[in-house]
Amino acid sequence: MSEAGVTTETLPAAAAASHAAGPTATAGLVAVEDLTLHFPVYQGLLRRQVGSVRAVDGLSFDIRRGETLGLVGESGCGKSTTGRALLRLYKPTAGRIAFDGHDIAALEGEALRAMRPRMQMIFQDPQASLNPRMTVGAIVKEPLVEHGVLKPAARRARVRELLDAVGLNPEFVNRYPHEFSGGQRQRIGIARALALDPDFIVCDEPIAALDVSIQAQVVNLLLDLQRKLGLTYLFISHDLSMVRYIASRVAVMYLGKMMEMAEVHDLFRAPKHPYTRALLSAVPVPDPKVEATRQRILLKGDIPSPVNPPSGCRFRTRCPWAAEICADREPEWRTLEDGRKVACHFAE
Amino acid sequence: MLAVRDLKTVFHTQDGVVHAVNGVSFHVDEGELLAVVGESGSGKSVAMMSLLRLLPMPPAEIASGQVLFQNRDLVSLGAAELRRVRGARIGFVFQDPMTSLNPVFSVGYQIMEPLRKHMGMSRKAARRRAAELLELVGIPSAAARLDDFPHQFSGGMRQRVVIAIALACDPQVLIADEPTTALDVTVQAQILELVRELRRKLGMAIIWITHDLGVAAGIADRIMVMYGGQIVEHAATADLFADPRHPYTRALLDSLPGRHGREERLHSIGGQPPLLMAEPDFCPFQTRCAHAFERCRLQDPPLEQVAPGHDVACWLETPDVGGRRDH
Repeated sequence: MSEAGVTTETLPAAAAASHAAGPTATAGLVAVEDLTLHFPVYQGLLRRQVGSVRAVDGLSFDIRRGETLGLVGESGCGKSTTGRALLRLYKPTAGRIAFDGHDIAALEGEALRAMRPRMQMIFQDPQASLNPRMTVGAIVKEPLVEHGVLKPAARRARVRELLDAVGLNPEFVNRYPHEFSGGQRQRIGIARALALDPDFIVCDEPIAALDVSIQAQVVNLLLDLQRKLGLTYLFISHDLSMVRYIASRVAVMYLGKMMEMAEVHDLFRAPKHPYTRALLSAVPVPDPKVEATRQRILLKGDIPSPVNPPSGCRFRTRCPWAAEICADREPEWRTLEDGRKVACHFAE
Repeated sequence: MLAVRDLKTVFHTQDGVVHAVNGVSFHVDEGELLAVVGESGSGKSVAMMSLLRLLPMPPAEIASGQVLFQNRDLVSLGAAELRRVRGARIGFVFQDPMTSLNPVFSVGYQIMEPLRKHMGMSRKAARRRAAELLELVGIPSAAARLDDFPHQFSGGMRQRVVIAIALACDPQVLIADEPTTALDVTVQAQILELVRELRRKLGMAIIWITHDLGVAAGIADRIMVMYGGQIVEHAATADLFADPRHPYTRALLDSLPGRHGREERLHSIGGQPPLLMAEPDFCPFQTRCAHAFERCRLQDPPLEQVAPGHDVACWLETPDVGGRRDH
């Protein structure tokens, strides 16, 4: 936890207390066990439940304090749902989410609200996540007002400080979001996420809507802030080359399950899961020499429905190396010698 | 095959005239894939939509230029004649397959429509050809899926259907506007492989609009980099990546992660793209360029050859052209 900006006294009592009670800095900030999130599917006149979308289906992983965990996968794999469940924007169907030693999976009401300042989110589309009728100052100030942090005069000073921290001119407090470019709007979203001095930020595709030259600006800003404030990030993205750059570890999801999780260097150098291999081989490389010679693993078919996922290993219907055992038995989420985790019968 | 000369497209808006495309000239040959690379607002889509006059006019207006195709100028062609070119001789694939397919007609009907309209095929012949086309673009059990509706296909399969429609009348030129941007990477890889295969089989010219330099590196013969409504660099793919000359191209390549290993910071390009509320008489990149000097603010550099097949619009590369020397 950084002391930049808001001091501990100004934080809500519950959050401040949890700091004192929290475990040491070496332990994981977030520990997830068997996290499951099913959305019911209703049908017919009586809206009877006929099944469920198994968006997230038994994830176990941890996020270390101060690290950036990259979460990658294709649309519909459940990566955004996972991010939102960690922040308790959804109530998990089952499983445990330990945030700084406290199980928040079942928290409700005021107890949950007291935890919220410590976990924030940066959204994909800054256009959609900023209220067009509020000034930039009001947007960034809202979390402070909402949680009763600081006195009005101190809030104004804090807003200016936050705008300055994300590289926006503090004189712009009275402007509206439409007066800013896409990259600047994303900076406003980041300033808002920083307002309550959080420890953990879920970045859900924060650069996907931005142009290449602007993406670099925002990524540099996120890294600077992490260094300065000791932030922990969950960086959700489909852009593998950017994840490779920003993340310390990477987790790969497919159809609600985690396929592989490893140190970024190990994952990109030698992916163990067939899906990770296919995914990495599909990323276009901005170098015509590499593109002309590389071997691609082209996957056949489409992602199956999460309402009725394949038996055994979920990836088996598209896996070039699938065998009989893959349909019969679900692969265990196991740890390999080099410490990485993988869910495949054949990985070694 | 298709040659464009000094194309200028403007938009008449409430705030004034936006000069979206400012004097773009290029050509594409038979069997060739030309990638057009640029960021949002660079004018890449507007330029290519202008070729077939696909923009709503007004507010858009093609202020000047020629689009020469089969010895005719598409800019001055009558509406009825232009319709015979669109979708028949020149096919178009857009970014989002869901917006280019009509949700209330079966995909078979939508593939048969151009066949019946442009080629005058009978219903039966058109249906047979539609099944062939779906098979060509790699849709399993093609004939059985003709009566399915767009929502019954996945995103990647829908884009294959759109490509099948664009290919229906055997076009000489295919214009694809960010056709894989809305797709996942593994699906994108499938579509790119399909396009490589179709090029070998059909030998048409392809203009591929993309913001992704990685995609361009993988499929293009030549690349045209656009910025501020102009072509700033144009070269064979290998030359562009090996020896980028324009400061914008270099900055764009530098801003990609992983090109120089895991260095401390990404190189970002400061500032914003120009608004183009006036036709620029200066280099459009000068406000963001680290090497800009006085001349860049006074004169717009022309696109000049700096090596065989390699053109650049930058005063640093071509100091001796343009008449006046201001420094």
